[in-house]
Amino acid sequence: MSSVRWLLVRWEVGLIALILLVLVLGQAADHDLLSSFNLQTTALNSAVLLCLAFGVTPVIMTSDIDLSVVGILALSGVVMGYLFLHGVNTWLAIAVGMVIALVCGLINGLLVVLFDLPALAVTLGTMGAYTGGSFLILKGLAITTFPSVVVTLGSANFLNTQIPIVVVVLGVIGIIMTYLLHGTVFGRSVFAIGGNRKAALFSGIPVNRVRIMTFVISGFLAGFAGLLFLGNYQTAQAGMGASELLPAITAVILGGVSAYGGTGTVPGVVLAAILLALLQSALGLHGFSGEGQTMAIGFLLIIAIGIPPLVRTYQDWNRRRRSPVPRFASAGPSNGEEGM
Amino acid sequence: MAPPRTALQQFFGRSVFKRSDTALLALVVIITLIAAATLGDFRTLSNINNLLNTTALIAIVAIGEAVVILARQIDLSVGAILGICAYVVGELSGHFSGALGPIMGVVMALGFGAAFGVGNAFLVSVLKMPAIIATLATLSIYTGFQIILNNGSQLYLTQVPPWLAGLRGNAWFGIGTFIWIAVICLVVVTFLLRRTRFGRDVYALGSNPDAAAYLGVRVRLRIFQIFALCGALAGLGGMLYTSQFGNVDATAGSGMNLTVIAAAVVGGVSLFGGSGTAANAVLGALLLGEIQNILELTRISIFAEQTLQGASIVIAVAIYAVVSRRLRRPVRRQSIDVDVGHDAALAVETSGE
Amino acid sequence: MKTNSILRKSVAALTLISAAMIPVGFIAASGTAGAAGAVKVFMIPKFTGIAPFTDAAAGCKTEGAALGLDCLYGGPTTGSATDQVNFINNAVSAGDKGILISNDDAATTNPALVRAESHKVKVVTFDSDALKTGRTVYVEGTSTTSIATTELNMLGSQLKPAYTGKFIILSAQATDTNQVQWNAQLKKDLSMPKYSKMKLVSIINPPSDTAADATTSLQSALAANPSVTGVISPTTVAIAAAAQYLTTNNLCSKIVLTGLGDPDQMEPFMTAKNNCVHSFALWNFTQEGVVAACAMKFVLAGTLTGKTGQSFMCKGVKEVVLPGQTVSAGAAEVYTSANVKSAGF
Repeated sequence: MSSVRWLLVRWEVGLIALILLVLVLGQAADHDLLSSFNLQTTALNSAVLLCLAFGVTPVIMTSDIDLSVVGILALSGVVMGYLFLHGVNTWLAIAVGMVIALVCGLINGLLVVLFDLPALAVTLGTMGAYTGGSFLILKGLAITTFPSVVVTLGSANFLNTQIPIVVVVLGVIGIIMTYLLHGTVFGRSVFAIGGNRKAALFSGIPVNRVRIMTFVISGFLAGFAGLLFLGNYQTAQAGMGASELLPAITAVILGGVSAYGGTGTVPGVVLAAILLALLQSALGLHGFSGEGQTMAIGFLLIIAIGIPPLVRTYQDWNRRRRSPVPRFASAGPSNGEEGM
Repeated sequence: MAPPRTALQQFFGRSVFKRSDTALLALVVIITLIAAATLGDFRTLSNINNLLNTTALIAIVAIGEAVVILARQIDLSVGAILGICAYVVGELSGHFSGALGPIMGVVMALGFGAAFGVGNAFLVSVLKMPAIIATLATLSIYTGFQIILNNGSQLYLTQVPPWLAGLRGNAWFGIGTFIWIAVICLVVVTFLLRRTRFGRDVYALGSNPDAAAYLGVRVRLRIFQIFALCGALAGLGGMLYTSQFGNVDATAGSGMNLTVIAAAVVGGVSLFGGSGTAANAVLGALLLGEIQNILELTRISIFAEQTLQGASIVIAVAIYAVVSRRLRRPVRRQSIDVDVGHDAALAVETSGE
Repeated sequence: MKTNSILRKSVAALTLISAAMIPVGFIAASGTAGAAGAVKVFMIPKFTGIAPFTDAAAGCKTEGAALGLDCLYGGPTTGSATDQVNFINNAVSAGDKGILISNDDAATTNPALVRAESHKVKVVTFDSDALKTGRTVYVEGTSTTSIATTELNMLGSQLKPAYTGKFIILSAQATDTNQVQWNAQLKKDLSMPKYSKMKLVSIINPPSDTAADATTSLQSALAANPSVTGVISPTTVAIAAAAQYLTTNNLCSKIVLTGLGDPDQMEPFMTAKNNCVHSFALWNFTQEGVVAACAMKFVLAGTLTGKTGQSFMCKGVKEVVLPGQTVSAGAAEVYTSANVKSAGF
C-alpha cells in the first residue's frame, strides 16, 4: 500500500478528522467551544479520564480488562484527602495514596495472573471492594480543603501561559507511555501477549510478569488520576469518579485498541480522549443534559467498536467467497482465553 | 444400567443439586441457624419476611444474569432495564382492569425487558462487541432512556394499579407472592436449562463457543434468546420493584448491577462460562442477603455493602477456581463434553425414560 | 450466506447513519435559541428527576419569561456536587448571565461559583445554599427555624404521650447544605423546655438520595434502636420510602412518621385504608422558582446586593432580605388527610 493510502486508512487519522468535525460544528453552533475558559475547563475535566485511559490501555492490550480503576481512584483519593485533613505532610500523604494505588493494582495482577482467574470477574469484584473501602473510610462526608500544591497541580495554569499544568503533566505521561508500549521490549511483549498468549509464552516472553506489570501500571495511574481529581474538584468523596469508567474505556476502544488485545496505539487513545472531551463539552454547551451526554458516549462506543469487525467480516466474506473453506462462526474471542 | 430416577430427577434431567451446591446450601443453613440463635432481631417474623422478599427480587434478576454468564457473556445493564420496566409497567398496566391487569402487567414486564435484552444481543452477536463493553454502553444508554422516561418526575403510588401496589404485602398460602414468583422463575429456568435444547446450547456456548458452533449450535439465535431472557427477568424484577417501593423515579434499580452479578457468582455460577445452575443464583442471593441483613442487625456500617459484594465476588471466584482445580475435575461441572459421543449418550439417556 | 451479507450491509448502513446523525443533530438543535433579547440564566438542581425541582424550574420559566429572562434548566442525574461543577462551568462558557443553583455540597461548588462570579456571572442559590463567597443571594423555600419548629410540633403532637419519646432523623446525603442547616436548627430547638422529653437518637444519612438506600438505612436504624417511636424525614425521597416501608412491615401504629414530603407521594398514605402518615409539611416549590427568578432579575439589574433590609417586588408581593443574604419564598404548609389532595403545584 502506498504511504498516502496507509495514512488515510489509519484509525488515528479518522480520529483527527472527527475532532475537527466536532470543533467546526460545535463552534458554529455555540461560538464558545474554543474560548480559552471553555478549553481550560474541558482540559481540566478530561485529565482524569485520560489518566485512567493511559492506565487501562496496556491492560486491554494484553486482552485483559481492569474495571477497578475507578475504585482505586476513589480509594487512594479518599485516603489522600483524609490524610490531608489530619495534617499529614502533603508529600507523605501523596506517597501513601500512590502506594495504596500500586498495591491495589498489584492485588489485581496477582489474583488474575497467579490464580488464573478471569480478569473481568476479579476487577469487577475489586472495583466493588475498593470503592466500598472509600465508603468505609469517609462514609457520606466530603473533604473540601486541600493543600495548595494539590490544587495548583489540578487546576492552575503552567507558568504564565493559558495552558493548565495537567495538560503538560499528561503530555509527559503520554510520551512515557508511548515509549513504553511502542519502543521497549516490554511494550512488544504486551502486544505479543494480546495477540496470542500461548504463542507469546512459548516464545519465551515472561507472560505472567508482564501481565502483572500492566495491572500495577493501571493501578498507579488510577491513583494519580485520583490526585488530579482532588486538585481539580477540590473534593474527596466516597465513590468519587465512578462515572469516569465508561468514558475511560470508551477512550481506549475509540482510540483503536482492540478489545481483544494485540493492537492499538497510545497516540490513538490520546486523540480519542480529546475527541470525547470536546464532544462532551460541545454537547454540554448546547444544552444536552448529563444523561444525554452519557448516552452519546454510549452510542459512540458502539459505533467505534462496531465498525472494525464489520470491515473485517466484510473482508473475510470477500476472501471466503473466492475460496470457500468450512468456517467457524465464533460468538466471542477464539484464541483460547476466557471471554471478556 | 442407571438407577431408577425419582420424579424430581425425571423432571429436571440430572440430579438437582451438585456437590458444591449442597455445600453452599449447608453454608446458608448454618449461617441462618447461628444468626437465629444469637441475634434476637434476626428471627422475628418481620425480619425474615423482609429478608426473603428483598432476596426474592434480587434472585429473580440474578437467575437471568446467571443464564447469560453461563454462556460466557455478561450483562451489566440489568439495573437500568429493571428501572425502565418498573416505570412502564406501573404506568401502563393501570389501563387494564380486572384480571387483565396482572396478566398484561406480567406480559409487559417480560416483553419490554426482553426487548431491551435484544438490544444487548444485537451488539454482542451482530456487531461482535465483547459483552462487557456492549452492556457497559447499553447501561449508559438505557439509564439515559430511563431518565428521559421519568421526565423530571416520577411514578407515584397513586398511579400504580391496586393489584400491583398490594402485591408485595399479599401472601398465597402463607408465603409471600414475591417468593412464589421467584420459585416459579427458578423452576421454569431450571427446566429450560436442563431439559431443552436451548439449555444444552447455553452450556455448550459457555464451555467452548467455537466447538459449539461447529457442532451446529445456532449461536446467533441463542445469544438473542439468552439476553432476551435476562432482560425479561430484569423486567419482571422491575414490576416487583414498583410493588415494593411504590414510587418509581429515575434512580430505580441503579445499584443493582453489582449485587446481581455477585449473587450469581457467589452462588457458584462460573464466570468462565459453562458451569452453574439457576439454583446457584438463588442461593447466592440468599447468602448475600443474609449477610447484609446480619451486618445491619449487628450495627456494622451500612457503607460496608459494596465492599461486601465486591470482596465476595473475588473470594467466591477464587475459591471455586482453586477448589475445582485442586480436585482435578474440569471446571465445567455440568459437562457437555463436546465430542461425538455426546449426542448419542444423551439420546440413550432420554430414551430410557 | 445471502442473509448474512444483507444483515451486515444494513448494520453498516445503520451505524454510518447514526454516526451522521451527530452533526445533523447539532445543526438541527442549534435553532433552539430562546426568546430574542431575553437574558439567559441557567438553573441547576441538586439532581434532576424529582418533582420539587421540576416545579421550581417551571416557576422560574414562567416568571422569567415575564421578566425577560430565559430560564434554562439542567443538572446531574445523581446528587453529585462534582457533576454540578461541570454544569456551572458550561453555563459560564455558554455565556449565560446568571446561575441559579441548589447545592449538593457548598464547599465543592464554591470554587466554580467564585470563578463564575469573576467572569461577571451572577449567582443566586435556592433551596440549598452555597458558601457566602459564591453567591449574591440565597432564596430559601421557607425559613429554617419554621421548618425545625414545624417538624418538632408535627412529631411531638402525634407521640403518645405527647412530646415524649425517642426519634431519629432520616435525612439525605451528609453534604446537603439545607439538610445540614435544618437538622442543626432542630437540634438547637430540642433544648427548649417544650421538647425536653423528646430525645434525638441519631441522624441517618443514606449513601444516596434513592428509595432503596433510604429503605435500607431506615431498616438498619430501626434494628439498631428498637425503642424509637418517631421518625422525622426532611426529604421527599426518604419520607416516601419510609412510609412504604412502615406500611409493608405493619409498623405504622408503632412509629410516627413525619417530615417534608411531596403531597402526590404522600397521598396514598393518608387515606382511610392506610393512614400511616398523619401530617407532613412542604412549601410551594413553584413559588420558590418564581421568587428565585425575581431575585435573579434584580441581582442582574444591580439593585439587589444581599444587604439585610433590601426589598424587591415579586408578583405583587414584597420580598425582604433577611440576615445572611437570605430571602424567604413563603411559608411552609402542613398537610393532613384533609388538604393533601388539593395540593397541586
